[in-house]
Amino acid sequence: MRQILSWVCCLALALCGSAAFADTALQSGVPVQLTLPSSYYLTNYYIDVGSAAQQLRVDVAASGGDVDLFVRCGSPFPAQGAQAVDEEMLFRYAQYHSISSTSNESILVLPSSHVPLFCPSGRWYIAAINSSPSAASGTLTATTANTLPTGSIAVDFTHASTDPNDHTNDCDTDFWTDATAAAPIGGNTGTTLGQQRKNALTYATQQLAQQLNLHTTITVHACGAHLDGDANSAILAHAAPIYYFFDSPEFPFNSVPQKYTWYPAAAIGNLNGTSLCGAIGTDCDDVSNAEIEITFNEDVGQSTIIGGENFYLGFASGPASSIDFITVAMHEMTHGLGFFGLANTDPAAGPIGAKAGIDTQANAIAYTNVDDGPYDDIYDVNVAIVNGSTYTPFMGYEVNGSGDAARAAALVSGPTVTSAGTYTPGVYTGLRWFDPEAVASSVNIHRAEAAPNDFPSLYAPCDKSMTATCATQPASTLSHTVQANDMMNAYYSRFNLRNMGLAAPMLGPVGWSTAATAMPAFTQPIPSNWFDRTHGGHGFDFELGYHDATFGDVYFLVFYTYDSAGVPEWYEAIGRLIDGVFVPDIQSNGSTLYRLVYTNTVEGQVAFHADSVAGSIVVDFNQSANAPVCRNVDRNGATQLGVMAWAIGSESGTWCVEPLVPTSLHGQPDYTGHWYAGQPPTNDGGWGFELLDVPNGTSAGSPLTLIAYVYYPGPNGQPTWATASGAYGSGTVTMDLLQVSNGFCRSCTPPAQLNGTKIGSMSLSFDPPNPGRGYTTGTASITANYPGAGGFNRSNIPISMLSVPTGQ
Amino acid sequence: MYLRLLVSLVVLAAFDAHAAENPAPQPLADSPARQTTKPTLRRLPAPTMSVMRVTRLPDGTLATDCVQRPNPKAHAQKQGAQP
Repeated sequence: MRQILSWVCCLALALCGSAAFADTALQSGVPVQLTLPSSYYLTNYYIDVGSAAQQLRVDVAASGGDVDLFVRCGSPFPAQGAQAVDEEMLFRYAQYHSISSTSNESILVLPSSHVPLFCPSGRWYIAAINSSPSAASGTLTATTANTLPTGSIAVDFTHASTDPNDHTNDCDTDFWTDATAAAPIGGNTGTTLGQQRKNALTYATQQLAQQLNLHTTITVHACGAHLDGDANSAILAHAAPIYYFFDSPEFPFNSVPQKYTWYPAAAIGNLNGTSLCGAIGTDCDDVSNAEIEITFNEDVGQSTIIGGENFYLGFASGPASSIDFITVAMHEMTHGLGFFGLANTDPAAGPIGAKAGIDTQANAIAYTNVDDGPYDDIYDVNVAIVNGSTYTPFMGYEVNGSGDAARAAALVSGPTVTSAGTYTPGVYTGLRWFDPEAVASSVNIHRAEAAPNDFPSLYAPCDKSMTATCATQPASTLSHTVQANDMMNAYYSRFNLRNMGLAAPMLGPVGWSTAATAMPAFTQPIPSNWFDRTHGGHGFDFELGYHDATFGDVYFLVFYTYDSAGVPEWYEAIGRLIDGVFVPDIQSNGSTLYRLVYTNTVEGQVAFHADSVAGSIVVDFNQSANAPVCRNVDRNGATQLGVMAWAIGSESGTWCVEPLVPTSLHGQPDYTGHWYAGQPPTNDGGWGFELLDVPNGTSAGSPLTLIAYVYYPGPNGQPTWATASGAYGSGTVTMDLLQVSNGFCRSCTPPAQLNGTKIGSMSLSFDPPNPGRGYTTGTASITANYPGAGGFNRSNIPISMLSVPTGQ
Repeated sequence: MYLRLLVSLVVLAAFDAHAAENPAPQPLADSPARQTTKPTLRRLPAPTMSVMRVTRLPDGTLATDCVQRPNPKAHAQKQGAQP
């Protein structure tokens, strides 16, 4: 079987790699020359971080090409030159990446990073590639320091734009260069209106950076626009995170704690320790690198707008009745940092309480016409629905939006208001923030109370100002606090609220915590047969090939499935488990998931090669219950979940998989594993079978029920598979070999019932367990008839377990 | 088992020599079979934006409220995505 040969080869490669991996230590702050020809990579650098260190910064400063930078801790990247490597592989290995379109990259790792600076070994591995057609040359530097870096919020005052369809979407940078003379005020020494505005906004960013104890640099795009107004009312400013992202197998952000969950752009950059361009792979030198956009109304101050009232631009607190520019800026930029729930509060946008998904045709976050998602968002993940003394998560596992109604009720659980603006601050609502960082914070006035009364309430009025029944206030509801005089109140009757209040601790779990973290616990999947409840009849055999404490354990995967005509076929992959993700090796044809073509099926002479169909696979076993694909049907009862993203030719899919037989149900003796006949002197590789066993009864020595998935050469040299099952006590068991006669393609609707047709038989016997020998052995006979004529046959052929036995 | 290790060790020796000769950067794998080797990113604008408004109350004082409105950038992206 090709997988066997590949496995042996892989073993060898890994071992040989261990002698040469990451063999060049970097000294802190000492640059090394970096020369990367087009489409070259390196993985041989590392740096050891001492226990006193508070930061690690890895920088590439190069010209030419497009160098991307990756770092990880725990185990090395694939050994340089020892196996095929491409950008996707390094991306999946990396815990932090910087992949901007330039050759200047930088990654910052802190004690508070998701994979923390004090990872178990303290050794950080570094990889770099140049995927550009031209060569790159420069330096690579890794620097540790025993102090935390001081971060900042940079402001882009320069990039103007106009929107011919919506003037409120303009970015008029003249707002910042207005030459109207102005007297210095409240410590703001600017002598023009434009300069004072710039100074005030810069001051606001400094306040936020200081109060958040920011260690990275993020960028705000600052604009003016004609947002209009009248004598009684005017918009002061608007702001938003420019983009939202989530971590998934399609694009891993291994630096974020919560998978399959929307994060705002600024939090993504902060958690990844990079600029936004480094995190997402865009240009760094233009407005596309900004994470937040804030726009002020340049009409404020005109005589026709609220009586000519103007912004107060002083640094020192001004009159409480004035429109404090710094308060407005801090409040709005705090929304841009991620104080912003995505659960729907607008009946015009979709069901109230709906989670945010994607309308892929519109390429937009949406609540209707969702064909990707919906996904939780990191703000709402920290929200609870409180009923009396009990509470439930506002987000979390649910099937097909079944939690929308409960969320909708919580969103109007506060006091009734009869006209906008009459809300009384400080009153409990059923919508609360339950992350402990804010609950325990000294700014939470309810912190001494018992849970859940100590959870800070969120703004959730029952608004009857326009309707007879409770309505939300889109979307003051949810994204504001109600504790009196908190900066993130939805309503102010006074200004000068320049202390972030609850927002500072609440933003912690959104991506801004500076508390040291523990090494995340990555999922350890059990070797088993894994399947998707919505694609029953397809699945994969996932087995541990061997342990490798250096590079990560090696697994092999056999994907049993059906072709477009419903004919059984199988593919295979071999790779490592990296931080709970199966990352396959790249084969000689460039694929990571491949099918065999047999050219000889004679016993002991089986020959084959990989066919030309391109394939790829990755299985992420971490936090899969967060994945929308695992929420399309009820997955309760699954002992583990994984998300399998595969592509075969032009087909692709993302499936939610779970083990068919949990380890706790294995029988004794345990024959579960992958078996083959490729061992000498038989040397009959090229085919094999997976066995699962469960006890057929509860008494000691009761017979086992064996389930076999047999992978073998089918008609015309194509790989095919069949199944068998039967009771085994001792001696030999003979089972009917069945093949599914109504298989369905990977994108087809499953039939109501799969029908098995007998195509032959399979007999197995096992030698007594011999722990000293390491591998269980036995014999197998197989008769598998092809449709029409011919077949695959073996008689009393010695077999042995290829995979590592359960529990070893 | 010993045969497996034997095979491994033979190959190990060969690759030790290979690695020793190739401390320099190595070529990336050629992946002609796959269309791309770079993961695909979804980058989507916020669906709404936060809007702060000031209102003069009947008693003459000013008060603000903060609401959310559809984000024009998301709207623009939708328009661009439609055929």
